[in-house]
Amino acid sequence: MAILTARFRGLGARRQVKRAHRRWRDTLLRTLSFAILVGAWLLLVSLPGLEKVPGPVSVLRSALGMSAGPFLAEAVRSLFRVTAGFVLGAAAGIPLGIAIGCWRPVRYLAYPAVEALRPIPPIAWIPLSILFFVHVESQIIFLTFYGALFPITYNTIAGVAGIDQRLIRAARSLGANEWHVFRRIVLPGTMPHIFTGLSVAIGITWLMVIAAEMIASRGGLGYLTWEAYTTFNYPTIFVGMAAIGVLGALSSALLRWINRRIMPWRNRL
Amino acid sequence: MAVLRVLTPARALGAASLLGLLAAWTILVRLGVYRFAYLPDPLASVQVGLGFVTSWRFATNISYSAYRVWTAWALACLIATPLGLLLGWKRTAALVGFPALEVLRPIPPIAWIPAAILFFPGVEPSVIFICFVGAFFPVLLGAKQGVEQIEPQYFQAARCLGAGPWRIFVDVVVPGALPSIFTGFAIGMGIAWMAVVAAEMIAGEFGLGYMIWDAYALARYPLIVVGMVIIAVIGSMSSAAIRWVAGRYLRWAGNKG
Repeated sequence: MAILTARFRGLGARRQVKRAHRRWRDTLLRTLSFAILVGAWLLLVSLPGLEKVPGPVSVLRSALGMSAGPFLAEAVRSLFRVTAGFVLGAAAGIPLGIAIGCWRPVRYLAYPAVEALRPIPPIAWIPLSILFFVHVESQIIFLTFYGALFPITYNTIAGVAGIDQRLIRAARSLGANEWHVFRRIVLPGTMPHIFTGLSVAIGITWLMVIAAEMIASRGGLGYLTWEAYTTFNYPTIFVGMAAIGVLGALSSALLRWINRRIMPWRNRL
Repeated sequence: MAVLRVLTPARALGAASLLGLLAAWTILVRLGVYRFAYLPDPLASVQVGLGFVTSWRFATNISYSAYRVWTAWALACLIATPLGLLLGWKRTAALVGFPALEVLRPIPPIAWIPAAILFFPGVEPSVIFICFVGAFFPVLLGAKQGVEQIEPQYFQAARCLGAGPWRIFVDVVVPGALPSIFTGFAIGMGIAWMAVVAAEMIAGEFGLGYMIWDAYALARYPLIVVGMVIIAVIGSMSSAAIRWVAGRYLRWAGNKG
């Protein structure tokens, strides 16, 4: 018996060593990945004809030399526009999707109209949004809202449609009323799809806010990046892009975290 | 009876839905509610649209946009599909390749516009690059996830039967990933259309995005509506074409494609 456990322990140790090796190798490869990225950038900058493109060093220097206050203010402006559009899109899209998914008359009445508007890319609404809204803030928030609305609505509809009808029938036969069916079956069953919709939507709201800010030119990270180009402040373009990327990635990560907290039974999004 | 079969309640309500949309548009324009006064009603839009569709300007703009989108999309598919297959198939490749790409992925294609103008001489390659960035990541992820979804038993079985890496690639990796690859193609096409409209608005000369922005700047508002409808029609036709191809050649994959 003792020999057996010892052997098992030995095996475990060897496996642990192997695993540690593997972890090392993986970290090394991941580091290599970033090294390749920076190397490719350096190589690109040294090519003839690309002298204007700043390298990683000058971008880093420009980022460190920037005064944090105004930069953060622009970031907060973009963040506000994204959040406002996203929250409005969720507030409109989730109920709309559930209504279309649950009630047949609503589906027949609303779905064709929604379907007719869907192929218009949200970017193409930019001129009309500027025409319709006097206030710049509402122009941009309308655009982020519009970008968020369709992915959320469509995924919610798909979620409701994917619910196993037998669950609903079983609940009804056990005496559940409409509210119970909705609260205990439809809503939890649709949640994973709603989160898929939300995670698509957050990407599109970031895309929309950058496009809208570049065109409307009233502050925000998109405007900062575009203005850096027009004022020949080239390293700032890349600082702006990095900030947009980091904030976008952070908001997606936040969404995934919430998803895990709300639905611990489903760990994959 | 035949009438009843064609006119099911579902279709009647669907028609009512679309008519309601058109009626709401007409009423808002006719009554001149707020800024709707600047817009054409549906009939006037059709008139403006017909006049525009037969003009040379339309042909120029549409061919510019279509050329940019399709070139960028084809390039993205050619580069991102093999790359995605490799990243999904080989762990080492994924470890070396994916982190760097994950750093670039959250940057929306639109944010590349100033950098693209800096990289490339002239408008044309910049706009194509931006659409390329837009299409690249969905296609890449489609191919990568497609390979990752394949049952590991298939690889083991192929290896037991003596298949080398090339045979496994041809007989397991590619067919297994194909439905997901086509999904990536379709999403990539959609994002490329969004990106082209934005890029043309900001940097472009010619193209449908430039046209609707120009129409706004020159206060020719009816043209905005016409342009939006045309963009929607062409964009959804491009995606429908991809789905049609997928449906024809991937019948065995059910409706996953």
